[in-house]
Amino acid sequence: METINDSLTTITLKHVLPHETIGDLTKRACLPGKVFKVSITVEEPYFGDKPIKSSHPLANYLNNNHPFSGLSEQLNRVTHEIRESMNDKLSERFTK
Amino acid sequence: MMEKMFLWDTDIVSYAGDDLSPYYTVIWNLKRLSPKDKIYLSDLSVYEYKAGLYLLGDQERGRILKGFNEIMQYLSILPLNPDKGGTIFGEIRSEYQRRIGINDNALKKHTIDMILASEAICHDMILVYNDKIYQKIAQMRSDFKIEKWTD
Repeated sequence: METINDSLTTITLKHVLPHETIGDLTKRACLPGKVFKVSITVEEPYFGDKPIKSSHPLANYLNNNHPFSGLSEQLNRVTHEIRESMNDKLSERFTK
Repeated sequence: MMEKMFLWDTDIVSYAGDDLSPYYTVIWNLKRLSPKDKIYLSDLSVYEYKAGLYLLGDQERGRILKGFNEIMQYLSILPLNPDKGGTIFGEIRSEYQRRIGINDNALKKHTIDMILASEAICHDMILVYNDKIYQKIAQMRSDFKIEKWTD
C-alpha cells in the first residue's frame, strides 16, 4: 500500500458555495496532482470576530428556503430593464 | 437597542433569496439584524419585480412570484412620500447634476435610484445597496445612511 507522508498542512477555504464540488475546492486550494485528504468543519459565519446567529425572521426563513435559487442574475436583469423604462417615465413626470 | 429600519434596493431581494448567488454576504448581514429590525421595500421595487416577471418564461415566472410573495411576508412595502420625498429628490437631483456635470438625459437613468435615496432619508432608513450611485449621493448628504451588504 502506498504510504502517504503524514506531515499535515491545514488549508481553510472560506465562502464555500453549495454547488462547489470537491474537485472545485481542490483547484481553489491549489492541490491538483497532490495526494490529500479532506475533512470538513462547518463553522457559523463570522461578522467581525463574533459568530453570526440567525435571529431576524427573514433570516430564519431563508435558512431553509431559497426561493430564487440560481435565478438572481436573471431576475436582476429583468428588473433592471424595467427600472430603465420606469426611469424615463418617472423623470418626465417628476421633473416637469 | 433601538430598532433599525432598512430600505432594500430591488436587487438585494434577489440575492437574499438565491443560495447560489455570489453575494452570499447579503444573508450574513441579514443574520446580524435583531428580530425587531424592519426591512422595507419601496413600492417602486415591487413594480419592478411584478413587471419584470413578464419578461421571463412561464416556468420561472411562477417560481419567482411564489418566492417573492413568500419573502414579502417578512418585508414591509414602503409607499412613496411625494411631499417630503419629492423635495429631497429635487435637492439630490440638482446637487448631483451640479457636482457631476451630466446632462438631463444622463440624469434620467438615475431617477429611481434618487427617489429611493430620498425615501430612505425621508424615513430615516438605511439603504442597502449594490450600486455606486448611492455612495456618491451619500458623499453629498450626511443624512443619507447606506450599507453595502454585497462586499
